[in-house]
Amino acid sequence: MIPLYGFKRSSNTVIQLDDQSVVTDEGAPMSFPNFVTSFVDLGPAGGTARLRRVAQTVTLFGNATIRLVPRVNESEDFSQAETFSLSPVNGTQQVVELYPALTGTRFAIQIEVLLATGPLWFGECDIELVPKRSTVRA
Amino acid sequence: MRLKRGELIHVVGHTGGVVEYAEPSAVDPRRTGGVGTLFSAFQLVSLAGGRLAVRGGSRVVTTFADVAGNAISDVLGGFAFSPIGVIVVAHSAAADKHYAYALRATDMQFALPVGTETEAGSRAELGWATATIGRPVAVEYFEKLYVVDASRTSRRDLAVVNLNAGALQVTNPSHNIDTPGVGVGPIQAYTIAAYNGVLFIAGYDSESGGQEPAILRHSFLGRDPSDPAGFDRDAYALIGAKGVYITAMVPGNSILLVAKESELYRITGTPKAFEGWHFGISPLDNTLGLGCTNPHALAHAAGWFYGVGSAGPWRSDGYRVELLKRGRDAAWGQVQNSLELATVTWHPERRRVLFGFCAVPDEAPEIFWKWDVDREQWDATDAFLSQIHQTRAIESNVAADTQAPAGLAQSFSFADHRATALTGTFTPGSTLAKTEVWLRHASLGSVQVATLDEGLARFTIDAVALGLDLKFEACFVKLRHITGGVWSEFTGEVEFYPRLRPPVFKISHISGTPNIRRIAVTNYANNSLVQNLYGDEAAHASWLEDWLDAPAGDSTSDADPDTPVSGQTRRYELTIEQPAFVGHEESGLATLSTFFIPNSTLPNAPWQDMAQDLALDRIHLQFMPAGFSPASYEVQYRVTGSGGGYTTATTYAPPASPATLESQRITITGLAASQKYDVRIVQTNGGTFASADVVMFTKLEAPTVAVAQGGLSSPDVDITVTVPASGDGKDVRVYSASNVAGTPGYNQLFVAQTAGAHVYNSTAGTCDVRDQYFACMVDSTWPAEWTHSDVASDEIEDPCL
Repeated sequence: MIPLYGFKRSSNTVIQLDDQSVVTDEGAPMSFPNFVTSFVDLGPAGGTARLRRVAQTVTLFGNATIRLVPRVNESEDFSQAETFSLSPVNGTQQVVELYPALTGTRFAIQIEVLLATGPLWFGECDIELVPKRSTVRA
Repeated sequence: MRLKRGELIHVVGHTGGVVEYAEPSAVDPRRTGGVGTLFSAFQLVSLAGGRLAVRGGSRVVTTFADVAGNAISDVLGGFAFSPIGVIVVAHSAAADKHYAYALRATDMQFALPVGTETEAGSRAELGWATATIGRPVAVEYFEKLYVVDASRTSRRDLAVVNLNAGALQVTNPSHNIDTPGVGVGPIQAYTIAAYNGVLFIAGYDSESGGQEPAILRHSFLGRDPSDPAGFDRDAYALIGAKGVYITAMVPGNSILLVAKESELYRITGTPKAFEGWHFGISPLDNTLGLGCTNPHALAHAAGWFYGVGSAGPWRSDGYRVELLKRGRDAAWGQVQNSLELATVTWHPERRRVLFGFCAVPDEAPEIFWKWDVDREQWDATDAFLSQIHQTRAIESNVAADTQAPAGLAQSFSFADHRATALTGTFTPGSTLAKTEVWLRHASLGSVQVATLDEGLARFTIDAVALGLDLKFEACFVKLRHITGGVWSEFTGEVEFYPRLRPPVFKISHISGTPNIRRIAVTNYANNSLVQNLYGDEAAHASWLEDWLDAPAGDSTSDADPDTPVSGQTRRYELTIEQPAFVGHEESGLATLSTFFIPNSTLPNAPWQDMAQDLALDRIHLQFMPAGFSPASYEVQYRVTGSGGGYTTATTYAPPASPATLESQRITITGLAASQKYDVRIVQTNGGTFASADVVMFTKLEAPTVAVAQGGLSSPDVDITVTVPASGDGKDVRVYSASNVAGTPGYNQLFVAQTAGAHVYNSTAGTCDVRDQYFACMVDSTWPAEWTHSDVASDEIEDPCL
């Protein structure tokens, strides 16, 4: 990989950026990697539903701690978040599952990497919604 | 576990890019091939196969030490520079200076002097002596790096960085643009670019007009832009409104895109070597009020220009421009800080364009948006702990596959084996690469001594030109290619050895009886030479003196004290040996004759001092006075074979006491080149008593050579050799450098050539591969080291039409 160099302000150093051989930024913990998925719903006029299950595949080559936070109608619900401590000893390909019970019209998942001591990839994801009985499907 | 009545939304990967506040129907993975988009993402990167990976960390690769106790306070930027690798510009607030550092692209470590790299040896002052930081913008143009300062106040002068004799050199040239011949001044441009064979500078009018934000100038085609006349006064144009800065310039898509703060222009055309402006100027079809905030906010990547203006990030194909902010409006609101410091960097392997922004009003970016040029979408944002003036992807080994040279060997052909020069041949690993020649010698360390042009495969290391005394010691030579600023592996070191010269020695008498001759032989250094001293007179043939591992300085011996016999002559012969120089272990003879008893009326014959170089116009000789005062000596000479009278070169009056009698070194000057002379010693006291004539030599004068393509589309080279008048009737050797393992492609001896020009033709060589031809005069009757004259040479870029 062609190196990407950074020429630092208020410093006497040149740094290499996005270097897969290290997991910290100049020895300090990297600002938490995280992402929030776009909102999904049950389609046009889908009405309300309950977010009941999130399954996220993870590939890891070092110990990792990740937190899954459900988001409903554009806000996080940390009360139903869950933190997973993962080790590649249990396999480099793993699935973390979250079983929230949140009602709303739009849902998303926020995933935060609290610790990663090696490369860490996120792959496929399942989001399972249960329509409310009163919902009128389009 | 599936849920009863549950509806599953399957996301095959979170690699659909960042799209803020997207309506679910627009980004639903059930409708977009299963790929999920992201509302926001940090410290991640999309990979193939639907994987979203945590980005790599960052680490320090280069640290600059204090300079004379002053800390480096900012590292302002780095620029690929093919002769070395990278030039990094740094600033010391304490020293009020900017520095240029030469680093290797392979590991970002100090690059100079090559072979003995040090930080100090890799550093040069940029000529920007200010306490505040500059904003370096640089472009490489014909092996020089031109650095300008994108500061709007207190702008600094153009700095030109290049390699000079293996060292980093920075100049701040003055130019004479406005009124040629009247006044000069430094260029103070805001930004710079190279396009279609000329250099463009923006923001500078002339030495009298000073800075002008909207003026664009180009250099004069074919002239070095660092030359005072490198820019023509009329080669300028006003781009857009006067007073509004041209902020950035980048070539690509066959145009030079010129950006102002809210305008974009195409510069097209081909320059000619005439005065005036030679390019067309047209605005983009739909500028949309977009532009660039500074020179680092524009890049060309994968067929598109990418830039950042006050309205946001955009891209253009050179005709139309489109805003890329859509889907990032919320985030854009958070990074509109210090946009004049925004950066745009292309990473060709990651296939991302990095847009650098400041999270808060500050002095350097730390937030980097990543545009995925293949998926044409925003990838996750990176946030670093450090603020970074510039980012740069610098390839480390674009030409690392260049094969090293092969078959390196010392040449003993022609005039190649000299005491003060080493010649070698090899087979190039690439005919497109230059070749560096490195020499390691006990008194020199390992240094680069030459760089050969592409395709050439013969070199001579001239120790005299290097100021190096080889001291008859083994030397070690190695080679490597360099192309595009990247080196091949070195060849292994090969032992080269100089020709052993006859030793320097002196005879002196010592008072008393018997009359002992003391012989002093000079050793050159603490090497392992063996020096031998022989007495050859029949009665003393067994007399021998050896010095093994002789120390530096004089070794002395008192020779064969035996019964004096009047009229008996002793001749002493000396050689030096180096057993390690297989095949060339022993030097020629140094010889001095003397009468056994001093004060003979007959003089001793002289000896040409072959410990020294032959010269074109003089002869060095030694002789031993056969008597003391009132004896008187003349050194006489005449051209061999002339049969004419002798000329007296000099006289010598020996001392009155035999105890101080010693051999004399004499130089005859004012002689003709390529000539043999009969030299004798004449004793003039009480008559005229002459020694035997001894033939001595001046150096063969070299011819001149010029080569030209002969007119055929196959290898066809006309070699014009001009034989000097002194070489009339002597042979001429002509040979080429194109060789495989020491065999020249062309090698001819032309016998008995008259003075004047001779044209020889060669069909050796390979089309498109540079070659070199050598010519020298030859006379096999000259002493061994001097049968060939110095070599003249000329190169031909392509032997074919």
